[in-house]
Amino acid sequence: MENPPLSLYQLLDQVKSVVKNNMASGYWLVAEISELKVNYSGHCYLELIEKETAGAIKAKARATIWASVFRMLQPYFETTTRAALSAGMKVMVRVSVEFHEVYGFSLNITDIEPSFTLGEMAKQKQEIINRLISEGVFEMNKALVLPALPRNVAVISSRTAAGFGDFENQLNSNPYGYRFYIKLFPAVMQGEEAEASIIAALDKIYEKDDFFDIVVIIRGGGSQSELSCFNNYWLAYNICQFPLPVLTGIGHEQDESIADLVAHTKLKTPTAAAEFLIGRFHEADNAINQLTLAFTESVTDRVEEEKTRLDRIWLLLKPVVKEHLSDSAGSLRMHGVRLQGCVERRILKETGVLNRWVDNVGEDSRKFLNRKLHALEILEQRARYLDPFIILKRGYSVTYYNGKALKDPAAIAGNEMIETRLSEGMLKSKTI
Amino acid sequence: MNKKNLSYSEAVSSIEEILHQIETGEMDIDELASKVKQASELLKLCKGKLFETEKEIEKILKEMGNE
Repeated sequence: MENPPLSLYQLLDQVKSVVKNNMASGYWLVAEISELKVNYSGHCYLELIEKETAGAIKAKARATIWASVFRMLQPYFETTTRAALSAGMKVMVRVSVEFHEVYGFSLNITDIEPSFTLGEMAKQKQEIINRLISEGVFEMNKALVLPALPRNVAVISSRTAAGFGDFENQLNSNPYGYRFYIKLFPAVMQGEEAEASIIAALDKIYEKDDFFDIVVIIRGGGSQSELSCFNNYWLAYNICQFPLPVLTGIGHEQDESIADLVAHTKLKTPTAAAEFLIGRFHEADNAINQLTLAFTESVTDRVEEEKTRLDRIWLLLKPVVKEHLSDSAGSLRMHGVRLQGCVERRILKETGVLNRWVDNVGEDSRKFLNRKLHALEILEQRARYLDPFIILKRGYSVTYYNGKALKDPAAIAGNEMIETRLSEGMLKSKTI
Repeated sequence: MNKKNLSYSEAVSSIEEILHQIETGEMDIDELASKVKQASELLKLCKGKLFETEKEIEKILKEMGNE
């Protein structure tokens, strides 16, 4: 027969001593934190797991960091990693294996290696970045065109964050008097809820994306160790695909979070984010002023140019018209002179002709007269031969009967008185 | 062409055409007086338009400066 049955305590006590005698006093262990709680007395209770590559849990164990140890480990870890110990984190811890009759199996964490987590975080971050890149969304928000005047600003922040107050004050008291409309979409900005809360705020803004010009995620204040949510894949994914440009002013000093990397513009602090927006306005303002100047100048120049053109035409017109007129007057005068010359020559010519005629007429008439005179002389001579007195003197006589010269003796009867004209006188006789 | 509806640039090119005709001596003396008169009227029209434009522009620019 076997040994008599053991009580539960006896059995577990045996297990305890087996564990105690067979396990080393400490091991360096690599695992993922799946749960983490700190109770009121400062003890930290965790659940550590190991997953298969597919994701199924392969091993799981409770672990404890006693308050006295946790008080030292926590700041040490956070100073190095700038992240709080939290679920999802991979850690390298020194553990001793404990078995207690009442509380069962657990690992007692006595030390931690933050640089391992740091490396894991960097690796994880790079994986997320690679994933966003391979999904083609990494640059999407950066590709959005920042509005020239980002006036309506949707802010995601916690209502009480000092950073939000700084941001608001900075915008509202800008020296140029630009007016911004700032609408806060409150969200939890740290811890495990942050991711879902910020995404919910983004969703609310998305419903009014026509109204808003830009989204600003600001954090400011709070612990530097609470930034791990900004390395979250889904938050980054949401920021990437948001239709409005997203600015971050998360306010951490060293390496950038994934949210910063995918945001349109990353700014160090909320104040810097406000400065950025004011600068944007100021830039646009300057551009408009410069345009106004250039415009004024070119318009004025154009008008002056036209004035000069008209003046030039006017100046040109007068002398051209005058010249044209004086040309015409000149040619008129030339015509006059030519006309006068022609007329004079013509008159001279005609006068010559006339004079020649006058000369000819004199000579001709003299000749004519002479001819006539000569003819007259001849006639005279001939007449002289015919002169009845001369004929009478030569012995001829004319007999008149009844006062008429008698040519035929038969015309007269006997006993008629006739008269005969002789050279020296009349002779009266009677016919027989 | 109706003078009232004449654009500034049409007016200016008309003036320049007249000027050219006079310069090159293509212009008849019979036409000269009426053409010069026309040119002078067009010039007056242009100057008037230019003046109006300038005044208008000054006003607009001033308003722009005041904003």
